[in-house]
Amino acid sequence: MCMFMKMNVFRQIARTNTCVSLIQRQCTAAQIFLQRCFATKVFQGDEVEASARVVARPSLPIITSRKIQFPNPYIEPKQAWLENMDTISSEKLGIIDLHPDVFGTPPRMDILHENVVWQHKYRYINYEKELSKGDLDKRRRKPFPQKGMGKKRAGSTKACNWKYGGSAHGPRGPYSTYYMLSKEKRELGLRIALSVKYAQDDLHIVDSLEIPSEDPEYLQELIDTRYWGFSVLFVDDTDIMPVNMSLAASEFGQYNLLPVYGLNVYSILKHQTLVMTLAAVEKLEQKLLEQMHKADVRK
Amino acid sequence: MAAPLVRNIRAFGIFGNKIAQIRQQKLLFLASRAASGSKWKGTEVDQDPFHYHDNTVPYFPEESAKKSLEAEYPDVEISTEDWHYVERVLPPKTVPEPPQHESYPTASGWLPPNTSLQPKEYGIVRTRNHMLPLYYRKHFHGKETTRILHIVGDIWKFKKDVHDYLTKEKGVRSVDIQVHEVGRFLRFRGNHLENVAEFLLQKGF
Repeated sequence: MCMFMKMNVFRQIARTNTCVSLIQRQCTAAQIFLQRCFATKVFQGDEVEASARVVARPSLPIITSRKIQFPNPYIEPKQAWLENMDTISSEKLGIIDLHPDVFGTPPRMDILHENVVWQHKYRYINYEKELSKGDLDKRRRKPFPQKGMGKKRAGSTKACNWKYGGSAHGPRGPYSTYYMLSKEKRELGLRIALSVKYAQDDLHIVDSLEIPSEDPEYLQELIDTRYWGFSVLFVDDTDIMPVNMSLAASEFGQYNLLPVYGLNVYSILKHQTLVMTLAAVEKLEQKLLEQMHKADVRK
Repeated sequence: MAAPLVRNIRAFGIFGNKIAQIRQQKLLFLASRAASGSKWKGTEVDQDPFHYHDNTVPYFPEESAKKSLEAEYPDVEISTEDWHYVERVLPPKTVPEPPQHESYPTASGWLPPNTSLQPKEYGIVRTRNHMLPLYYRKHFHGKETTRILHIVGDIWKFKKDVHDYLTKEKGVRSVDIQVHEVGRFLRFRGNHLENVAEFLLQKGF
């Protein structure tokens, strides 16, 4: 186990300073279990080709046990493959349990709709404005005498009935449509979106987002081989992403990297495939379950 | 948005020039006052930009000396030795599991779920506070509704069982029940809290 953990550290040090946070990342129980089963092999990060294998792993899948907080007494945990990003075709590293309340919630289209609409509306500002009578930069004077002109009586040329006059009931200045959806609905929306993705086989869990080469063709080939869909959303637990992945994904508009704190219903639904790291799944589950079971709830 | 600050000279007619002149003079005066830096002529304000002198408070030299950059402060030692006194007072973030009691029901009448009595077709998940998800609501005009939330499994079978229990064993003449499959809840017309609670506890939920 020590050899493998050292190997992991060597691999990370070979990369640039942007990956410093990875070294301090705590290993979950699942990862430790996986590491114990793997063969050890020292790896020099810079010398690997795109198609070469990174780590010698046993060919059979390994079932890992993952602790589920606040288990549902009536529904068993959902199961998902743990895949890798090191090779073009996915190697199944194991099967992990997913919480049924997070990844197996009954679908509610109305909640998803509310979340998506809120995400658009709360930051939308309507800049429409029509100048009213008072806004116009015109003379206030009575244009012609009250009587004797043969014209319709008028007090100013700014009136609404006049040509180039003001607008009576037009949109008045920039206004915002800001409102906050309740935390319960937002949290439920996330859970439903994740459940929908899981149910439709569009959710994939990987051990980490580190890929052996920064060539965008590697990433494209990987996604094409695995039929991961036109657009993919990669979710990691921290906002500091591996260098190769960042460089490769920057070439594509449809492959996006996101930290766990940026996960939102619109992005999950917009991207066809959702790829999450195991660390991200742990963090996300912990946060969502904490929200579901928190002690201080105002009614 | 609003009309421009400097109006067209012609708008003022014959007095336009004079008014514009007065306005220009006032602007110049304000600019010069701002440039000089002091609101009150004659007072000596410190040149130190970090010094704040509150005119309402008597001037203490030692207080002002503390706020200056060259002030000397005693050494500070950071220690978390006594943090446990704070930690034990902080409330828990999530609701903990209830402790194991000697006998059930407890003094307040609480019963834990009993898996041996539960049927396999459906289940009722308890709330985060380990209570039955049973709610009563009184609407305007005196209408009352009772709801059971968090239903898992065959919701129609559950509805039938509850209906049978209420009509046959409890002797309620008729009960209108709404089955909401998407929302996973059952809604009764009327106040059936006690009877439904008895049924749920009987089934071990």
